[in-house]
Amino acid sequence: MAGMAEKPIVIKAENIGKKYTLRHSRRHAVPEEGKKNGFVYRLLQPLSRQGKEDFWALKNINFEIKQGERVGIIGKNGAGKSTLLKLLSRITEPTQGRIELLGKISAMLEVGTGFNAELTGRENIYLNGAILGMTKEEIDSKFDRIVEFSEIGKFLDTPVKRYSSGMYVRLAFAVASHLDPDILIIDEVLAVGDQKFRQKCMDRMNEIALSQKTILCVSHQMNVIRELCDRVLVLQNGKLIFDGKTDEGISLYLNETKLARSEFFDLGNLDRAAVSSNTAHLESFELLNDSRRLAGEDPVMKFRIQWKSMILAKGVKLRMIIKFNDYSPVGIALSETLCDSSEGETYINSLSFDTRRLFPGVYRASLALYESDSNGKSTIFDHITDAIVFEVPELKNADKSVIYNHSYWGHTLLDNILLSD
Amino acid sequence: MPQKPENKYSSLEGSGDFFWRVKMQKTVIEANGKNLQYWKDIWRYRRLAVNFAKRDITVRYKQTVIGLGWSVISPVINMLLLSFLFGKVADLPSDGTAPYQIMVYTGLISWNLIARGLTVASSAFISNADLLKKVYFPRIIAPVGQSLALLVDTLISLFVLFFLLFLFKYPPAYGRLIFLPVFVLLSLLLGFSAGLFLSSGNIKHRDLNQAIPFFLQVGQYVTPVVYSFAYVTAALSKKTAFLYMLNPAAGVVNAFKWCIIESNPFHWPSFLIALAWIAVLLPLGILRFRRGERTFVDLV
Repeated sequence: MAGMAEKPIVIKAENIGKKYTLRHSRRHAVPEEGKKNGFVYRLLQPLSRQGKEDFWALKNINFEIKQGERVGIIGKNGAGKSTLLKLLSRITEPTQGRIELLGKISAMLEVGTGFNAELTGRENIYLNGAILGMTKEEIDSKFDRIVEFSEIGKFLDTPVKRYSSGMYVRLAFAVASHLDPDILIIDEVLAVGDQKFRQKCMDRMNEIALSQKTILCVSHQMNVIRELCDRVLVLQNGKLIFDGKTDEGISLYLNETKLARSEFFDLGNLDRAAVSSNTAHLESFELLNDSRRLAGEDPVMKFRIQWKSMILAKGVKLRMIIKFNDYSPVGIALSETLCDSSEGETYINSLSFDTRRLFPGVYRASLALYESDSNGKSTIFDHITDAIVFEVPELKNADKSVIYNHSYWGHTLLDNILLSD
Repeated sequence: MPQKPENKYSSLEGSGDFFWRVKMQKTVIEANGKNLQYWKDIWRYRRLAVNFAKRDITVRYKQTVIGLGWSVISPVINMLLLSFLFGKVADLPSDGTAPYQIMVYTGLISWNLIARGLTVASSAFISNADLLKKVYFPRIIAPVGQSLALLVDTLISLFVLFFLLFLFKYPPAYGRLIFLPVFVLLSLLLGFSAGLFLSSGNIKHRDLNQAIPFFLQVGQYVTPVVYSFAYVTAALSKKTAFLYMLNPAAGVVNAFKWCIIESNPFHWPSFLIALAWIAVLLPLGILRFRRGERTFVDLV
């Protein structure tokens, strides 16, 4: 491992920035100039009357990436992630600064770029491979592996316009993932195909990562970033606000997205899926956690809900659909029957939920109010997606040897395995 | 993070590094900078142009019943119609002894190359936008590839021409056929250069896109395609004839006809004017194209 420190820098970004000039057409903005909106006016002054505004999509970005690093780029929409990838992959030029790249670069900014619907799978493999920078010999030597990976089998000589969308993306990903660059740039393309193929893609990415390749990856899926990257760059409004360890960067990013942690959630005016509007309505959710829970001594979360019923209903229940803070699903918790309701009444229920099976962390929950009878028939009265946020504290007496690795272990800790004699 | 895949090759690193450093190519991207690797890059991607050409040809003929037949039928019908109108109805003279049909068909081959080369190059950014916005390659590779596909069409047209020559029992100028490739390439180069020159003007505003087909339609009639160059220049006043020869397509198309038709004398002045145009348009076109490729992704 002696050479570790001497790994060459393969990407060096010095003070790069990208400016876009936004042009606003003033023709629509100035209604009183009605006469001037006409055809003749445009013909005479085709280029005038446009407002200009400079917009820096990226500014003063500096970083260095060494060979073999796997770097994630995260940030909200519009933070400049895609612009950065476009600069690095030479699709567009920076307005300021300088980038040095060492080695062959391939970018997968979209799956199936340059695919032609009329051509067969085989023809598209060669065309797409060439577009992505492979030589014919290279494609020849990888052809069988590409076909095998894509699982298109006997459709190899069928025009791709007759492919299912699944087959299409599988083939496209297969070609792209068999590129052999020194630096691989990926933009949100791992979210293709069904679950099984997605896993295959992730495995392939890990395989690439193992072979000394440098990977740069943009994704909104934090579990993908967690699994693939050992370093992240966090962008915010075109500026680099963090460069460091994946976990730290992700929590910074998630906090940046204003995870509204609070004690009281007013649910009355939140958007909901249009479910039976004149049945029952959740009005508020209030956390009643006492100091013992916050100190990590009590795993039970106590809360109170207020809801209003517009109808007569029997056996009203509440369910919480729980997600981790990166929106990956965790599980569902059902309440006991709250009560039978009558028309126009407001109800308040105090409830408790044992969170000891959830790993410490911040979770979101969707809330649904529904009615179910003993025959198994159920009607949803109200459903609010991601209505609340709550935190599961680390318990004082928890097994400290366990590191909560969410991307590999999920988010739940099942019952202990017991010795039986 | 015990679950992260360990780099199992790290022990080989020392030895691997050495070779790695040797073969790595370095790319420097600078803001508004000159790309020093421009021509090297184009050479590196030359095979992609061939791939684009293959794609164009395959796709064009894949869904048609008679396939390549279309690139035979349409110019032949066009030729028959134009020969009838200009040769029979208007009763214009041909180039010397050549059958009118042969003269028109020869002229059309050259003119089509010019016109289609211009169209391909001028719309390079727009027609390939989806691709160019997602993948890097020297942008000029796309229209070059599309132009190579035009050469295949021309080859087919030339076969048809020789069949027509045989049919009309009119012997071509055998001694000059050796120059044919030169004039094929000159026709394409003229259209391509002019197209490149227009390409970057086609990005922000699409007026050119509307104007070019019209311009080409007019162009066909101020170029000796459907009539004899010698006849028209003789009929015009000296001043008008000179203006006529300023059209670079006139010199190229007439030289192309000279290659096939024995009784068509070579006209140096118009040819030299055409060469001068190409010598100016090609470098200017490349410059304009390069300026366009720097900004078009942000504009399209």
